[in-house]
Amino acid sequence: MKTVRRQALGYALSILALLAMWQLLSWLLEWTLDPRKARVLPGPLEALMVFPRHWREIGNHFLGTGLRLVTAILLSFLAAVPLGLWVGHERRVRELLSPLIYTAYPIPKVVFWPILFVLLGVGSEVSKVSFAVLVVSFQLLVSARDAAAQVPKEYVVSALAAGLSRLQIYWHVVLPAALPALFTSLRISLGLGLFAIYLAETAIQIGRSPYAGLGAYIHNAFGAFRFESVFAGIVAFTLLGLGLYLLIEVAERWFCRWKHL
Amino acid sequence: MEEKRKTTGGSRVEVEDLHLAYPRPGRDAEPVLAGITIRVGAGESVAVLGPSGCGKSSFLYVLAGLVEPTSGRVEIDGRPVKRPRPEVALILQETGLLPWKTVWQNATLGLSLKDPREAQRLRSALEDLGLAGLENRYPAQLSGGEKKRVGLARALAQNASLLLLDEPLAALDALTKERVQNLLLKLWRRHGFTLVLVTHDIEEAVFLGQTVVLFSERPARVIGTIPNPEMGEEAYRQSPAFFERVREVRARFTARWRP
Repeated sequence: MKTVRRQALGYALSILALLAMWQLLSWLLEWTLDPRKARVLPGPLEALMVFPRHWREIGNHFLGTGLRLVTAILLSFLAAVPLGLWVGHERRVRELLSPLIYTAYPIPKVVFWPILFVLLGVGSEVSKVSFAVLVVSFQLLVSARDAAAQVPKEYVVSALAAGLSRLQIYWHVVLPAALPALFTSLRISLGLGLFAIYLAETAIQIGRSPYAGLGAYIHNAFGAFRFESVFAGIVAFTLLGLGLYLLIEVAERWFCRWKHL
Repeated sequence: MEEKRKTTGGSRVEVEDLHLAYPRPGRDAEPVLAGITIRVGAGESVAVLGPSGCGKSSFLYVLAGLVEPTSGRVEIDGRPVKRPRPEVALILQETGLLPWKTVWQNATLGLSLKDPREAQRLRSALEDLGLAGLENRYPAQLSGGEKKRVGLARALAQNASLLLLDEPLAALDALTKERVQNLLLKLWRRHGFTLVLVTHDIEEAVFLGQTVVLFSERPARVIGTIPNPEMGEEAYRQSPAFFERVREVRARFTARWRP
């Protein structure tokens, strides 16, 4: 309980520090720049004042972005992790497919954004989520492959000797051994996913869905020169990321509790 | 009265002209075992002594059904070994306990526990081995000796008739090592399983093996078989006969391997 309180205190202080730096930077611009230019960085109070007035609008966008992000990460996890563990664990598959994975890994997936949009419908939910899946899943695939390839042989041997089938080995040995690395990878995926969803949501909107997402909200606010709304959107994005990050943290503490003894 | 096993003791192991070679890409296969012939009677104990990296572990993997030999006959109770069998328990140097499973989960790995006697056997094994109350601990929360005992509890729960030990005590401190060796001896006498122990520790081989088999360097061949019928009591460790046997084994062992 004490560590939880200390951690909460740490987060609270960090948030205060960030807000203070933000305020200082905003004042600095105000003193040094032309007021029309300085407007691009409003202070934290101005930005936070947007929330009480537009909380429902921002809340809906928050929900839209959150659902897209969680869906994309879950789909990526379910697709990439089993494949990665398989490639990493089976020596022949590893030798066969690793070059392919490593060749495809560094391709900047962003370039496929317009292609996906044309193929799956401009601004459609499917295109947004699949873009994020494309960005996120490679990272998970590579981590899963590497983690599975490093499982100590002794664990596999002793489980095989205990009579476990090759399929059971994945559930009882390979997956649990890879889990800590997978959680690290999930945290990185979260950052990548936020970026991908933001980009996808800034695409041309056909009609104005109230759930178009924080990306669309920020994008539109930029277009209308409402910079305090832009920063309100950024704050909402941060809260979304932080919330999911903490969720991953809690899940890791539970699933990898043998690591935190 | 010591409890007696219901089965007729342990398994018979027959290995004849066993050859094993690991394939190497682009080169000839690397020979590991070059014609091993060993017979172990039901309920007997054999200690295989060999230099590090000689192929002792591979020999056990073959007996455990994990590695297919290149040629030769390997039979347990008259049946060729093709895959891991429920009556054979393999305990590795690091015991092979999975760090993400509790003592209980580790000890029941691969057991169906459909048979209530299995769970009962495990419970009494844990109790016998002084592990009662530790069922929900993770391996990281156990001492080295406790980890070894979990491995043994597993073997007892599965009612193994053949125990294969791969340098199981190598990482223990001297005192814990002696205690676990005493425990192993007691369990072997009480449960009557067959014991095949692979080690590079001469004292351990003489303490636990009714027969001490010497392996050469890789590729391993049998270069000596030394009967050791006096073993069987904890007190043997202190007796002149023990030291005499250790000296004999060491002489035969080092005569070949003096650098």
